[in-house]
Amino acid sequence: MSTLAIQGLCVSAGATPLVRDVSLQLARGRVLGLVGTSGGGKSLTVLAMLGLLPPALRQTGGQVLRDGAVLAAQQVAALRGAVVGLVQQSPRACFNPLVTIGRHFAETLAAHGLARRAAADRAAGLLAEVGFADPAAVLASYAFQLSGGMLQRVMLALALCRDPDFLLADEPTTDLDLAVQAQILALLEQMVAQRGIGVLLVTHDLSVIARLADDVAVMQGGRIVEQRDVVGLFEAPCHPATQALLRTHFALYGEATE
Amino acid sequence: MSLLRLKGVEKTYRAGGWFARRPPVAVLRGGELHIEAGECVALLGQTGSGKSTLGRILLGLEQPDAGTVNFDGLPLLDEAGRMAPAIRPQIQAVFQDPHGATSPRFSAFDVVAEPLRYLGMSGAALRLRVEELVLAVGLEPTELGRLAHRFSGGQLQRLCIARALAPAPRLVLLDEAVSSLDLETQAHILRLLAGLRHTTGVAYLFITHDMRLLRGFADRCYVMQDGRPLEVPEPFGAGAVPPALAALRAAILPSRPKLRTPQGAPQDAMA
Repeated sequence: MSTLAIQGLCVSAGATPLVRDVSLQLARGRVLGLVGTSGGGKSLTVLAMLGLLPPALRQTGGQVLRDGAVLAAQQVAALRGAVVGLVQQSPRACFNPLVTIGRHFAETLAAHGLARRAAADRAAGLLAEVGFADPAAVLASYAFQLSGGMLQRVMLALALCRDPDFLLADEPTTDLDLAVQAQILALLEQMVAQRGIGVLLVTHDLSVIARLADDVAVMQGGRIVEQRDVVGLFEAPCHPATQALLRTHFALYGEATE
Repeated sequence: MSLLRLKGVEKTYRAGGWFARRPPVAVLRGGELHIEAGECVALLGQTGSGKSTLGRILLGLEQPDAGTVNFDGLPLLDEAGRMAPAIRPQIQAVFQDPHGATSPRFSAFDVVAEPLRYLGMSGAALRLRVEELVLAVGLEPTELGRLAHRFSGGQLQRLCIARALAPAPRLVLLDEAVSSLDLETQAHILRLLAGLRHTTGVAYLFITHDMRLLRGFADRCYVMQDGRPLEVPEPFGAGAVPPALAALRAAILPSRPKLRTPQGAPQDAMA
């Protein structure tokens, strides 16, 4: 089975450690949830997997592995887009307001060697796959003319441009309303089922985990404190941080916990 | 007499630019909503259902095309669309994005002090009131010198709440005020808001799309149905609910994972 993993990742800002000895493994066709409160190091872990850490931070340890083989820095960079797609939070900030959605696709597809007619057809096909009935209209519009949920679907289609094996989804539904969230999660589920994509789903919302994840890693203070299958985690959480997360989560649903 | 009462409020926005006019969009089409003193009223609705427009109308930022908005039994705005200076401090707001709602150049102190300066406060009295407010929202007065944007999202939202409470308002509009925060911070902020309501007697209009947040927080609940706020006596009850609310209820994700086989396929797919 094809896998993508990160091992012993350590990231620090000056002398302050932000991520400490984090190891995760993604497998094709499975969804790994990464959950924790804000500031726990979840997004940094995602960026490190793509070699995209901000310049002010230093990666003091850890390596990226594909199918068990350690990758050099250039090889990690080569994963971006081709093997690993990225979907981020707040889609509005991720698009260039000056050019159309079509230009965004043209740029990405040109890097893949597709141009003109072929690129336009591929872009339309991808937009249809993420549920747009009229892809041509979307390609002609600017980011500010689309809603947050539509932009998130466009971003997903962009991430799929080069047919990646893995998708890193960093809080893909956090700023969206619940109905749109349900739609995006159904779409991700469909990608896993149809394309056999392996997904890293980063979120602070345990209901998103319950909906989609097969396995879960709980992160707190830059460390992974618990990692196991999703049913086991919900039934019998071991670490106090997991228990606290689940308590708040169940309180939202009006369910009492022990 | 209600603290605030909206009746038959209609609002239509012009769409398109100068060169490509499109038909106007009717966002609010009437209906009625009232808030009593000290009450917490929830307003639910999907994105684009007009709940924020309604919020802007009760802040006096927008003038409705038709209908009446009464505060304490008197019209909120006069014929020219102005709000009486005595009413303005009594209605405050907390918005979704605390970073967008504060100036990056302000220190935490400046953020909370700003509305008080307009009320003519200064010097030691101002300092004392600001410290009292930040303590009430669970922050340390020693942190007041830091730049507001150095705070985390949850802490900055607490500052925004302190700022909203500064002029001792009687109504605070909470427009998706906890939606961008993580689960545990959401719970903290909601507990804080409930506590502040009991100590200050302020009323809330809590606008949200996530009806899970209502439990134990809101006294009454409205849902935006076809551009009209519609009161729902029992949003979680088994009885019939308006279609807009049913859609919001259906969108709530399950609280627990489905049982899966070790391969990861949902079991109930075979059942």
